[in-house]
Amino acid sequence: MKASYFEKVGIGIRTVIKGMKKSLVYFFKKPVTLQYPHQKKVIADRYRGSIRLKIDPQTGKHKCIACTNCEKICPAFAITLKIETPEGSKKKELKEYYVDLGKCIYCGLCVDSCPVDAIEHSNVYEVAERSKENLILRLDTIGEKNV
Amino acid sequence: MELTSLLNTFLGKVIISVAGVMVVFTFNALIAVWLERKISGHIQLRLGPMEVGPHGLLQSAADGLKLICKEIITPQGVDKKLFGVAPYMVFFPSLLMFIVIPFSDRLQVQDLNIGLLYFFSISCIATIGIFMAGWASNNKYSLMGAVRSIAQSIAYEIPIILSILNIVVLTQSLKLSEIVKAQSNMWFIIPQFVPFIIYLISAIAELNRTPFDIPEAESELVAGFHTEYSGMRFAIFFMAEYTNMFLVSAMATTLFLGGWNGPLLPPIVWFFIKTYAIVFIIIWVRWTFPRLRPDQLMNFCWKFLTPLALINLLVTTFILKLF
Repeated sequence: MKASYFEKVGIGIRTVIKGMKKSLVYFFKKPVTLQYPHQKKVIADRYRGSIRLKIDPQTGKHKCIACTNCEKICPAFAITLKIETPEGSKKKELKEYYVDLGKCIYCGLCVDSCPVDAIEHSNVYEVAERSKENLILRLDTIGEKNV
Repeated sequence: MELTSLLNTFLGKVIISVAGVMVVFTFNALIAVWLERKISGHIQLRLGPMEVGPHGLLQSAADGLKLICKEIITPQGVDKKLFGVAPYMVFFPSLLMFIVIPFSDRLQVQDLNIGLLYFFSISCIATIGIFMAGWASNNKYSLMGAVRSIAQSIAYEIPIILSILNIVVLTQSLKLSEIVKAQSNMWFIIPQFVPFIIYLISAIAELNRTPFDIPEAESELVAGFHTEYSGMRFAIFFMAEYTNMFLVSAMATTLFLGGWNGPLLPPIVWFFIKTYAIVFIIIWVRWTFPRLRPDQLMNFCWKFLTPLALINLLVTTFILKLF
């Protein structure tokens, strides 16, 4: 059944008041905006930020055994290892460790595949740089950048 | 000594009035735009401008500076003379309308005998400016916006005038200072609440603001009549819009909320408190309701507001005749 003229007027007035009340209630609510450069969100502990080599607190060095598991499993070819085997020794040594953050998809497969738990995700998410070269982390920058 | 004698002359009065009006004009444009952005932000759980100045207070000044620095572009194929003149045709009426506004018991540029009539007839000139802008732009969206604006103005003038006639009948005067003085005991909003609502709705429609902003409906007409405008010419349209908002609120204050009447505080402070309360309501309405369709807009005016205003006028005059 169609509403009559006066019923329509009544509905109109009711809904106008309802709508105005709603927006006034929202006007006094606390805004949800986070003012990004001034205020920063608290990052969860298990957030998958950029990759970093764990530092062993006892030796003060990284724990990498240069097995290249991470390099092999990386689906985006973001990790490259430079390995040397010194004369008269069977143990491989890690010379350089590159992580290209421009390629990294933050999937976490490298962290899972590490047999000695040498790499981990940090909480760093502000990785923007002015040139592509700066996106590649090296052994000497991988620590300082990902504190 | 010479300065005081100069100020007492007619020319001195004109200079001071123009300066004063320009100051109110500029500050209102800056503050009203800031208020609009802040209130809309908070209604949508945002913060609005925060960076320039404390709580973004200087944001509108920065925007204005940017618009002044921009190149004035005249598109090809426009009617150059009309295109250039149109913003000023919208701008000057709002400047002229300030003349009769009674800011306080002594602060009024000219207390005309026909103040009310003057105010509402001058306000109609701005519509011509809008049509000039729409026509001169040589753009179908601008023209459509201008045509809609004219239709809307013609329709909503009638309920506005009918609701104001109630006040004129009550006070038997068109002089704004006398209307304000008549409200020293009781504001006219109490006996004339329905005309107040009619006035407010029609005023929002006259201002071309949401929910009645079909002349500049973004989703249909880009920006309506000022689609082709940029830089300072656009800024003039923009400022005129916010000045008209202030003027309409000032008139609502004068006619219904007792003007500068009020206890304790000085009259001018009361005037601005009441005016900005109305400005707040207009902004609040804008950020609550969606846009009407053109046919709904016309239906609402002709089938609801106009009859209601007429009935109200009849009842008022009848009661006044009885007692």
